[in-house]
Amino acid sequence: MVKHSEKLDDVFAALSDPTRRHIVERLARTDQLTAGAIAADFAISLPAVSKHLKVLERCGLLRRKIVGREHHCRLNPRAMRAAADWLETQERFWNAGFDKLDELLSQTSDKE
Amino acid sequence: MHDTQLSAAPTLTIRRTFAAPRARVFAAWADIEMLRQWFPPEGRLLDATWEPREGGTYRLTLAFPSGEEMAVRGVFSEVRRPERLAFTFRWEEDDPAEERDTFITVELLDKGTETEMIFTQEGFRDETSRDRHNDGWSMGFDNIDRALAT
Repeated sequence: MVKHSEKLDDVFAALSDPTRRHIVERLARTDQLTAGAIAADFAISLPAVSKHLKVLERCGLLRRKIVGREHHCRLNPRAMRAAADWLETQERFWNAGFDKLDELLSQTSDKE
Repeated sequence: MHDTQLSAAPTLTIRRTFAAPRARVFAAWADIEMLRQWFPPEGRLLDATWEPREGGTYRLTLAFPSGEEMAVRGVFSEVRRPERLAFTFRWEEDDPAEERDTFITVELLDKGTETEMIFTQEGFRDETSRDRHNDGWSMGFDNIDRALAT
């Protein structure tokens, strides 16, 4: 039903961490940031940030470009879109079922 | 009456109020014969095993109008009549590596002649990653999407 689910698992797993969610939000607002700027922002060490960035990079949410000694990070909207699309598909499926359930319940409740 | 919320993504939350008492709405989930009448939304249910008790399993085969058949299966982790059901939900794929567990919770609130249902589906990889984050996905895709669109 859903392709590339392994990747989706990774996206959802990556976003299950509050620090990583904040990094993603921060990047969404600023387009591009260096790893150092992100570390400064969150008052955590550069190695800790680097770990989070690696998780985000592996699942496709983050793109990193190394310029000299600086790591420039930006979001990859495609990966984000895939996760949002997955949710929308689930939503349509269940809402259609609940429409039917609604109908069923309104028919049967008169009999009781 | 319904209200769908994607803002707390990647948790899908759907709230609905049904014009029926809670026991009846619970039965619509727990009783396979009632379930058959509304699930799936299109097409019909073929083979079905459905054991709504803690640790019970299920497998539903759906025939879609297109002729396509799909099966979904899972395990019930909680069944509290008449207020709460929790189970895993996993579509079967040709390649099992493509399958993913999602976690569904159905909560029913007694509103007298009406019942409010809060349906939640979470797309976490496993229980560990889900439990690690009960505080959740409060900051959402919506914000991010909006920011990316600008």
